[in-house]
Formats: sequence, structure tokens, C-alpha cells
Amino acid sequence: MGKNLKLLQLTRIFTQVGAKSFGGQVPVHLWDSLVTRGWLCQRIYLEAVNWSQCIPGCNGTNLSAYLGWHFKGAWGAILATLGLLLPGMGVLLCIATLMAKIPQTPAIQGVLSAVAAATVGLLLGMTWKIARSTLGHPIKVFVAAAAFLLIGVLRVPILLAIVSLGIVSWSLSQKFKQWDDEHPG
Amino acid sequence: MNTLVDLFLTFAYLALVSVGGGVTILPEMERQVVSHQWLTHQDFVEIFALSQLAPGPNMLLVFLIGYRIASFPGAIAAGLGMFTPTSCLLAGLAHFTKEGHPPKWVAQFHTALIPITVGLLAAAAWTIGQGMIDEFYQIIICGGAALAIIKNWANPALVIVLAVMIGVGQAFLPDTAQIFADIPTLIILTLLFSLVIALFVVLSKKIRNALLQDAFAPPLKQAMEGGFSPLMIVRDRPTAAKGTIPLLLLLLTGQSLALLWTSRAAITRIWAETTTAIAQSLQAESNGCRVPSTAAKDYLTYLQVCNAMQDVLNVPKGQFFYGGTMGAAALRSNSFLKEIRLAHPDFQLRYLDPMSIPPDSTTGIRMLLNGELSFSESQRPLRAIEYQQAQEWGFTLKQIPVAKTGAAFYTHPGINLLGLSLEQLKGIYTGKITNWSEVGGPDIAIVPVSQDIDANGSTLSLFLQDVPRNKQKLAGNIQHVRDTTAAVRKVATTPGAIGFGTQVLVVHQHSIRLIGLAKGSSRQFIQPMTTEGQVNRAALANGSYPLIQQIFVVLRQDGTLDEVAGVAYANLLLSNKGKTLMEKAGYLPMTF
Repeated sequence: MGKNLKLLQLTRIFTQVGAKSFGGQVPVHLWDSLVTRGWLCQRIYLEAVNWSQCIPGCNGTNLSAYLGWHFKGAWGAILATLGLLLPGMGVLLCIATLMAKIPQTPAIQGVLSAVAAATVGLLLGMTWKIARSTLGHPIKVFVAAAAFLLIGVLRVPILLAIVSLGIVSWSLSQKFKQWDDEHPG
Repeated sequence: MNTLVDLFLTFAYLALVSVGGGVTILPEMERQVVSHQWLTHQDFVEIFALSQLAPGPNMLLVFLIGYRIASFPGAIAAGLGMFTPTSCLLAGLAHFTKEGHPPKWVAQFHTALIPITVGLLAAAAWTIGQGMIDEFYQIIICGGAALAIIKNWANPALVIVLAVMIGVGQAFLPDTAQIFADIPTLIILTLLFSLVIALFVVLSKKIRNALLQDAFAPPLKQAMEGGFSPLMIVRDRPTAAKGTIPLLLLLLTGQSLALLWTSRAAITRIWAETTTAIAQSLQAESNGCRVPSTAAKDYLTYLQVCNAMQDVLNVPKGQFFYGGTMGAAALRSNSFLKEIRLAHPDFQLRYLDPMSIPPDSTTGIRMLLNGELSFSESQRPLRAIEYQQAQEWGFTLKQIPVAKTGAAFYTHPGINLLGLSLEQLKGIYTGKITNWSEVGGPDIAIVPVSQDIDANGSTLSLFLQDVPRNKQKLAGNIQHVRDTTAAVRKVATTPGAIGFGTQVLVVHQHSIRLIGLAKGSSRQFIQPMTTEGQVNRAALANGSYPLIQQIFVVLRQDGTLDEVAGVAYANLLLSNKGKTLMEKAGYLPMTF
């Protein structure tokens, strides 16, 4: 299944997703192009998304590497990832070159600061949405707040913060699982 | 050269510590870039904003950072660092794991990190916002964007487009600070802003309706019923959009307005191609691939995920007898049978009532073993002894879960009780509690009513299972009845009576009083019914309802037409249409 997808088609699909996934919703767009159109079954797609989110790195390219390999091996992985990245990269480098050439007008500054403000809002919205659905326990809220303080305000190196908080969060979650099992309801 | 190596290493390191997806490393990226004295904070934020204008994964800003530091080679070095290590990792995983979800410990590790991810996201917002959001209009944009995402008003792409428009607009106004301090102007601008949004919404709805009423509606209608939106079809094939204007619009808005310029022929053609592609893949894809989850692997080898009931393959012709639990009675109602008959006129189902004995799960399985039924419906998992019996007959039994439901308990309307804990229920049905006053009710003797003949019944076994086997004696005062209908009638007319039944069968009964249940001996009662009088499916979905039962289709694996009929029946129930009907009936359909 899916093996009959040609390398060229695969590259085209990922390039199209790379060209149209504004706002970084790569998994949603890929679902439309691959699963809804019948190139891939839901199960394998969900497994791929699961892997790409559990492993560090940018989710979009993780997904393209996994699926590219699934369809067409090494070349599939390389071309899918490049296909996903190149349209956006091309657009960005063009804009950057252009902006270096032309003088900074108030309009350009205005656009940038408005977009920056919008992205801050998007990030806040996203944080709120995830926090509401995942931070059920006060301990989890504490861990999230600690992560924010350590990384955002105190600027501690990220590896240090993740390892220390990860250990705390992990051991606490194990404890609470035990507690939940022993005290049903 | 050194800078390039440094860039590569820095971004490779960042990629490897980005535990919750790309955005979480923004604060650390800013810290690294500033401490290397490559960029200032202001530059970083500008580059980040710029990167949001391009499509693709949201970590494209590394190219821009690399480009700013060391031109094109820098962009390549940064990009390679950011994307290659983890991509190689994932490709390797795809190669070695072949199929399957991440192992449990990886998933658990990921879950343990979620609170940190939340903190990191907030930190990212904080980092970007620092020294950037200082004007009033920016605060409005920021709040609006957050609200739009939380309330699902618009997708991120649309939010960015609107922000660009506002950004351009405010640059041409004399003094933004003054204007936004001026209330009337502010109101006008807000109105304009909402007008733009409303225009977007109305326009896309108009397009949709116009297309539906058009001459070429049939393929489109079909497409929409199949879960495709016309927007999606065009979005999937930007090349099909005729000319440059729609393509440009497509690039600008991500989707929407491009449809205006798309030719009808193009849509019809795309839809035809799409359906052929689906049909081909359905054919090519032999059984294995429509199985949606590994957890369900062993019985799902022949399950299909279909939308409409007509799409279910391998539905045999002929008349088939089936039977089993009353708990699945709603699945045998006319609404289901009519739909099945419509989709597959030659697949005739007859329910076989065992007349002399109670129509429960156990009876159904026995009749299935005896060959009286083609397949059966059960409200409890198969037992070891039943598997063993089947083996003696020379075949195996298979159970396919199709839905979840709950066992509801109810009392005579004269008993005014909020709920009972499972411990109290155990006491009542084993005869240790005999008066309602012992559980906080009036001083009336308890009359337990049961359609389960012993503690192994599909409902009683749910809370009596941890009573030692030799002590599994039911209370002597239990009134045995044949089925749920009789139980309801008995409880409604006997003062002090308590009985049970599947949620879907009893929530609409007004002659009895439903009570809440609490796990263990706690007092956190979960009601079987919502205040609107519907089955409390939320409590089934999140597992908080104490007595959850699964409905199974049980079949003999003997390669006969009976087995094919059982599988077909399960697939009909599990098709999207079937799921909708199950939901309407008050079940929680299984999803795999």
C-alpha cells in the first residue's frame, strides 16, 4: 500500500504542502493530501505523527522524513523533506534579499511589528489551549510555571532546565499514577 | 568557515533539545544567537516575524538567521543543523520499526514532558513579546490573535494575513498612538476589522452554496458527503486553479478565495481523479491497511473504515440469525435495520429470541456455540470456558468491540437517593445491606431486582468480581426477572426496589428514579444521565463512569458465511454512518 506512489508524485505532494501550509499546520495539510486522497491509511499516518512528535526536532520535517522513507526509502525521505522546506525557504530568502536592498519604510516596520504581535498572540492562544487540556494536576501547573521561569525569565540553559524538570515531572507522574491506582475515584 | 561549523553545531544542538516541537526552543535559540553576538534581540524578533509570512514548517527562520550571519552558506549550514539530525533519526525509525506506534516508555516520557512544553511555549511568547509589544494596537492584535485561536474563529494563516493588513494600514495613518487613544476612531477601526472577518466568512459560505446549487453539483455534493470540501479539493491541486490570480490568492490566503476563479470543469475533473485514486487504493490495499490501530490488531485484520454503509465490502447475501444481550437492543432498532436494508438489500438479519430463557450475553454465546445463530451480540468479554468449548467443537470464537455503554442503576421513585458507591451496591446484592437507612435513605427494606442469574452475569460481575469465588453468593432476597423491561416494571411497582439495565434502555424510563454511581467507596457520584435526559456519554468517553461495558459482536471463526456475516455486521456498525446512528441511540461508538 502506498508503494505505488511514484517518487515524483511524492515530491510534488510534499512541495505543495510546503507551499501552502501557512501558519505551520503541516500535519493537517499532509492528512488532506495523503490520507483523505487515499495514498496512506489512517493507522500508518497516525503512527508517523506520533513518532514525529515524540522525537525532538521540528515536527513537520520529522514527519516528512518518516513518511518519505516509508514510501520510497532514502531518496523519498530526502526529497520529501527538501520539498517541504524549499518553497518557504525560497520565499524567505527572496524577501530577505529584497529587504536588504530597499530602504526600511514605516509600512514594512508596521507589518513586522503587527505580525510579531500576532504571533505572540498565537503562541499565547496555543499555550492556553494546550495548558487547559493537559495541566489537570496542580503539580503539572507547577512544573509548567517552573519551566517558564527558568527558560523565559532566568534564561537558564535549556538542557539543564529540561533534564532537571523532566526528572521531577517524570517521578511525580509515576507517584500520582500509583496514587490514582490505589485510590480509585 | 568556523562560523559555518559553529552555526551547524548550534542549530543541531537546538534541534536535539526541542522536546515539544520546534516552537519550544525559540527562547533558547534567542539566547544562543544573542550570546554568540550574531544578532540582537530586536533582529531576532524581526526575523521571526518575517518567517511567519512564508509557508511551510515553522522553523524556517533558521535559514534567515543563517543568511543574516553568513549569507547563503550560512543559511545552508543552519538549515542542515536544524533539520538533518532529527530527520535522519526519523527515517531510521521508519526503517527499523516498520509499523507501530512509539513504545509505551517513549510515549510516557513524552507525556511527562508536556507540562514543560507548556512552560516553554509561554516562555517563547514572553521572549518574542519582550521589548516588542509596546503600542496599544499591538496589544489589540495580540489579544485578538489569542482569542481567534482559542475560540477557533480563524486559522493561524488568516490571523497573520489580517495582521499584515493592519500593519500596512497603520503605517499610513498619521500617528498611531493618538488614533488608538481616540475612542471613536478605535470603534470605527474595530468595526472595519470585524467587517473584514465577516466578509471572509460570508464569502466562503456563499461560494459553497453557489457551487452546490449549480449544474455540476452532483459530483461536488458527493465530494462533500465523502468528507471533502470544495476548498480542500482546490487546495490540494493548486495547478487546477485556472490562471495566475487564483494561484496568487492561494499563496496569499492559504486557501479560500482561490475558488472564485476556479473553473467548474477543473473541479469536476479533480473530483473524478480523487474518487478513482481512492477506489484504486481501496482495491490495491489488501485487508491489512485499513486497520487503524495496533492495539486492536488481533481482531481488526478484517475491519474496514468506511463512511457510508454501502461502502462496506464483503457483505454476504441471504438471511442470517443473530441474538444476544438486551443491552444491544437499540442496535437492532428500526433505524439501524432500515439503513442496513437500504445499503445492502440482500443482507437480511433476523433476531432470534430464545423464548424460554433470558435473552442475555451468555445465552447468545451459547446459541452461537450450538450453531443456532450466525453471530451474537455480547455485553461482556468472552470467558475462558467459552473459548474452551469452542475449541472442543473445532473452531475459535472472536469478539469485535463496537461500542461502549454503561450499566445504570435505578430505584423505586419513593427512594430519594443521590447515588450509591460500588461498595454499597456490592453490599446490597450480596445481602450485607438490607435496609435503605444503612446507605442514607428512608427506613424501608431493600428489594434488589436482577436479570443476571448469578454473580457471573454481565452487569453483576462488573462489581462483584473481587469477591472471592467461594463467597460469590447473591443475597437471598433478590427478585429475578427475565429482562430489562421486566426489571423496570418490577422496580417501578415495588417500594424499596433497586434494579439495573443498560443506560440506553433505561434513561427514557420515567416510572423509575435513576441514581448516580461512585467508584470504590467514594461519594463522587457520576450520573448515568445528563440533565437534558440523554445518556451521559462524556463520562463514558473519559472513563469516569464506574460501570462501563463494551458491546461486542461475537462470531465463530470457521470460514463459513456466518463468519463473513458477523464481520460485515460489525463493519456496518463501525462505518461512519453506523457510528452516527449508535451515537444517536446513546452508545459511545468504538474508535480505533
